[in-house]
Amino acid sequence: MPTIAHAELPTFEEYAAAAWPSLYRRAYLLSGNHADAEDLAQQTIIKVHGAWSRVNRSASPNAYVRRILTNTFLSTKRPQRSHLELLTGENAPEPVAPHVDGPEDRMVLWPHVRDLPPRQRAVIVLRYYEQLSEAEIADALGCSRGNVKSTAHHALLNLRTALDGRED
Amino acid sequence: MYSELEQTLIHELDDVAGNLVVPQPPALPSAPPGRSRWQSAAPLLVAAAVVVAVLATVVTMLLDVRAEPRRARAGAEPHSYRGRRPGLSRGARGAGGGFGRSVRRG
Repeated sequence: MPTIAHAELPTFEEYAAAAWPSLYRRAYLLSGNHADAEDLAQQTIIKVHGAWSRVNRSASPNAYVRRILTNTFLSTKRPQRSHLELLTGENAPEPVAPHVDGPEDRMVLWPHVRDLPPRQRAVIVLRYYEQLSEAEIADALGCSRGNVKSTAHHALLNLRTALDGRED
Repeated sequence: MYSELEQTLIHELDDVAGNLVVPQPPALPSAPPGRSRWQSAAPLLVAAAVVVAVLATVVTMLLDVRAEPRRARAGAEPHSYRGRRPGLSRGARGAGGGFGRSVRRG
């Protein structure tokens, strides 16, 4: 997990340029697709820009930005799952090349992580990607450590159940 | 420490993040919007406040200057009791024996 030290934050532009890749990666893990990840990362960077004096002054700018990212993700209203419609006749699109499995398609847990409820997904990403402690996750989410523990427990339970269902 | 599931999770999340093609960052304005607006407005606001204060002082002084001859003329009125005793004029007016009242009665 790349981090940026406080001493390396002379301007917002420098911070944004350095933080963008890791911000985008975290946004992708939270949202699960590129379009939403780009929206989320951009919204976060705009909020950071607006609050730059506070971010820069804070004891840990990375923690501040992480809070903004997580809260933006959790507060974003997501549309109901889109459903596919098959277009036929004259409106049918040109046939495209068959889908080739990428590395993500061969993963065992990632597809199920994407299906978790947002809060559980956030806890999983913060715990197992960012490797944060329960206290740090509680700080990022603005909740108690007990809440983090219970959310992580339910998330792992859901993943285990999903894996068991897949193996059956 | 970590279960097998958790280790797989760490490994897969790292793989997903590591294999991502990160798009270009968005174009950003050079300074925070709120701050720059205040920075440009603050000197104008200060200048406006100074102008208002100076104008208020000048107007007050002008009013005082214009009122002074009238007061002096009122003090020099021949029938006025206060005219002969300028030192008492204010006290006399305050006590109800003012010039205006005596003229109306007269």
